[in-house]
Amino acid sequence: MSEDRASEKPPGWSYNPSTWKERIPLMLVALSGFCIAGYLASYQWRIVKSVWDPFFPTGSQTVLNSPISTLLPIPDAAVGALGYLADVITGVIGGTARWRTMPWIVVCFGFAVGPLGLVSLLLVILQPVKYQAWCSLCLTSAFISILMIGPAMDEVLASLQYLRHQKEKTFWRAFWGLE
Amino acid sequence: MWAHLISFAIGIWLMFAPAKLNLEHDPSTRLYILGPILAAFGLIACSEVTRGARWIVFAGGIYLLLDPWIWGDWKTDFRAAGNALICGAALAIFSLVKGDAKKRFGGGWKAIWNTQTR
Repeated sequence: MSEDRASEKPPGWSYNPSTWKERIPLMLVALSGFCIAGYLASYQWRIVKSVWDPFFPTGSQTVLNSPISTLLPIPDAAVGALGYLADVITGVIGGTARWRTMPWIVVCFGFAVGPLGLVSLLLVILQPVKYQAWCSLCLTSAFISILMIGPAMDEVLASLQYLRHQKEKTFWRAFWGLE
Repeated sequence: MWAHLISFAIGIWLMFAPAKLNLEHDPSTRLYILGPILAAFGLIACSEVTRGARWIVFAGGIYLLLDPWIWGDWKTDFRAAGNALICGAALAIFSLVKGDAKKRFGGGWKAIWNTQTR
């Protein structure tokens, strides 16, 4: 089994980025982000009456009730929770050779992790610039989404290298993992 | 990795420096924008595979070194200017630390643009 996994290493790599050892920690981090974003969304939907914030109690209310938070049909924290859910789903699908057998899901995983992190960065900038307020749990959620970017990108890189250099199939057959 | 964690910490400091140093509106706004960006790319640069993000931190550090002269804070707001110069110098220096290279990535991101078959 360990020999099989070793042979699943991408060419020129010192490790296989699709092993569960590499992916499970990311899933756990994404789940923690989902819980935080879900809690914030439950406040925005008024399922809970108040929001917990150890550092900026009034700031959280300002940020979470701001016009930007309601730009979309659902609150922005709910969009974040869906993003984390997408991270978990796209992270869990596929085996330990998915960088080669399912490049499409690895690319989806990269899109779920990367843009989510960059959107949360934009929201962090808007908090003080537009509303002169901070929200501790929003900052924590943004930290989690950006924390995931670096560790997630190795698998994306392996898939992109595979798609670029494999010669046995057409690009699309390789992308969708077809024989 | 430690150097990029320090960059991350400096980015976090820049986010809260306007309140701690009681800075004026304009330098505060610049730090509110730059702080999260530099903290984010410092954190991203901690991973070996995305170590290239340190060059964005480097650019941010150089910008901070120039910021007091671009906006004239060196004449009017010494706290803002001093903070920008110290943080900018630290970011520029720490972002130059490449750090550990324990893992191999098959030629890295450049391999995607390389036409040679491996």
